[in-house]
Amino acid sequence: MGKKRPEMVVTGQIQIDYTWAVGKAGERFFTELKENKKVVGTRCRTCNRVLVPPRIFCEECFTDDVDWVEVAPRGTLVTFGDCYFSTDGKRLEEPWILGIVRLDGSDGGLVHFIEEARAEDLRIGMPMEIVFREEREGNILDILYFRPVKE
Amino acid sequence: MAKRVALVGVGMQKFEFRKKETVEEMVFDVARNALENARLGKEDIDAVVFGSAVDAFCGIHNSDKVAIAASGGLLKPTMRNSTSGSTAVSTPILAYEHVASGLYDLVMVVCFEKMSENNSAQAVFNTVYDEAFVRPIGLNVPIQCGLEARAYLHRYGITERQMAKVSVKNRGNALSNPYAQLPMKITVDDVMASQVLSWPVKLLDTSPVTDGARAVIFASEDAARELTDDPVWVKGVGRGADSVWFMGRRNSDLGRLDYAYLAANQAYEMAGIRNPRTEIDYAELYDPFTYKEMQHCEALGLCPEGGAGRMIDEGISLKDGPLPVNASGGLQGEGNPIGAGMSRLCWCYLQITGQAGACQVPKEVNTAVCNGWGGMYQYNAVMVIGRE
Amino acid sequence: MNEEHLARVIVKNTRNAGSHGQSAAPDVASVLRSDIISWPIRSLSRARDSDAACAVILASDKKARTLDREPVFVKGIGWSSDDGHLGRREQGTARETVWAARQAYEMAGIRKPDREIDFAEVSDWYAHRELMHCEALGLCGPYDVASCQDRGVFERDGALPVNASGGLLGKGNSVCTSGLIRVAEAVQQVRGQAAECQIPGAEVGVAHSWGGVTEAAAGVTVLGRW
Repeated sequence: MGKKRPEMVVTGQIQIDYTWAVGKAGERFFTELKENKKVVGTRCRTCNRVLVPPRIFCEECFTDDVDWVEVAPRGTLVTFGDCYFSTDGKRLEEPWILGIVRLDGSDGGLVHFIEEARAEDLRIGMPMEIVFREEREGNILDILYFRPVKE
Repeated sequence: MAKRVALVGVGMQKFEFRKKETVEEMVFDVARNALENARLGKEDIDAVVFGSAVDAFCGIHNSDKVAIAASGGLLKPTMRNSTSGSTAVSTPILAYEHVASGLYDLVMVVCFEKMSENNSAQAVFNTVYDEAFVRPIGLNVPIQCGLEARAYLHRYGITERQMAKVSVKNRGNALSNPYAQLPMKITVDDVMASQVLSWPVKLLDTSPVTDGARAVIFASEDAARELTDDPVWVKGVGRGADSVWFMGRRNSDLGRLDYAYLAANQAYEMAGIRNPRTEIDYAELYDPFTYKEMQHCEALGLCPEGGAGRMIDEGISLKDGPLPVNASGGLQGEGNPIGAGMSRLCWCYLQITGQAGACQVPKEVNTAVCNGWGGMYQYNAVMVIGRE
Repeated sequence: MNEEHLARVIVKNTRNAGSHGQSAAPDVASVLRSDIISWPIRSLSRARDSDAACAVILASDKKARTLDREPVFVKGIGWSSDDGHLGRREQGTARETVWAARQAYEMAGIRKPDREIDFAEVSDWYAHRELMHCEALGLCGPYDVASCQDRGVFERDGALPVNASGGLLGKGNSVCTSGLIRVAEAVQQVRGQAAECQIPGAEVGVAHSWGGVTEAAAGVTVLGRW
């Protein structure tokens, strides 16, 4: 696949900084994470599903009649993926791993790093637990990673 | 009730990385080709619909504005559609609806994407991820595939070698496709030996980043009958979209595309199709990765759920098989310019009308299905076309 | 036409927005004293950026008749895109709006918009655009837009009120949402639910949307009681 250059080009760059609102649900979620080392979700009072990531509405019942509940900082590994490239495209010897974990006490889950395990030791369905950061700032990286629960 | 709508022409062009033409020039090329194919003039077209998935690729927002004049749409009603990767089929669905509403007789749809002018396709994809829960953990396209493909293989016992066979089939089929970017004669072992991006997805399981456009012309029944004795009708359309919070869905198993089954059911119900395996003659399915073609075969009922591995093992989807899939080479062999994945629909039309050249399958093709997929494992759009 | 005509659009719309508005209504003199961005556009001539969302539900004729609410009918629609390149477009006329309106009026069976339309909600992203759009939508009839404004035609108590809701200059601009908000405002007028913005006897209105920063495209809808 040869890359042929066109004869004439103009170059440029787009660099824009953003400050995104995390939203009403996000604000509660990240505050609980930061201040209380807790993972919370919203429970729909109509269908009783507990949503993680939390939302101010249940998308099935289409109501905002929800309350906030704590969910366990552990759950079941739904799937995972390994990557041999760093975020700036360099090839790595050891892959970094992301996984989706369904959290106990909820009908949802989170996607996050997996550490303290190699890809070949992970199994879909295995129990995982959250490792929290000690100095937390109120964002998703207040969770350091998931790791397999030691038997 | 919806009026009958036919396809009366398509406009093709080569997919290439670093295409010399601008978006405007690419669009002119396929629009003119479509008008020629349909034997129409630009004045005949009542409205134009554009499809392009992610402006951040070419770095110019509302990139469709340059396409207005280039598609013959100056001062006509034009609009742009964007539903991530499923833009490829949701856009022609939108054009179909223009005609089905009875408001317009001849509508052109042009889909385009110029993906190669940025220095990092991954940085572009990063603009798609939500800012609070996903972007900070550095999700990227290879891992997105790893998460989904691993779940799919686990759920149904599909194997890497079966995925590899899809790559061999499609890249090989593309050798007959004059518009293809990356035709290749390879073996299963070649695929298995290619670089692992995120298990089980390897380099030869992916489709190339590319530039390109496609155009299709839809016609009302009256307009179609003036142009041809053998119209190809839009028989069914369907769309499904799931929640962006893929980690928290009711069905968290990415292996089963609930939203694709839904979209396919809508399209088949509209088309009066009960048994797709016997009533569909040909398919062009969205295959940005080999395992996606397999998931789509299942969701579109071309094989039993979980049976796509067996389907490829038994050669059913080969060009000379009983239910050929992607004889054009699909996205794997032809190239994947996101929105211009409408090529899948174009090839269905070319196969039915016997215009597929060296890609023409040996069996008779009367009814064909195509689809598009995209977003955070979210969207699917399906269209069934065919003779009476 | 002169700058005062533009200033009067700003005064009208900010006053119409009333307590829902982004800011207190200035008078013509203070508009003409405000900073120039690029003559004749002043800092007050451009609607302020805003976050907003709007939802509208459409129903088939058959379905609408089974529902409780008195429906407001879509009598005509039209939309059109002019050339994407600034240098290839005509300046000073809103061609895209002319073409969009033509389609919508034909569908709605409207021959004399200045007589048959009761009110309009148009894009006033920039003050001068409101006047261009009034012209392009045929709301001035045989007169020119400046003399219509002089005669108070577009005021809330005038013969053909434009942006009685306050428009974008009054309430803020959220790009594409602003267009749908024009539809929503028009529906509320026809239903008699526009509260302090209500135009007595409003039965047929036109809602207009426009995008014209680099591209130039417009959409027009005619909405009415029957």
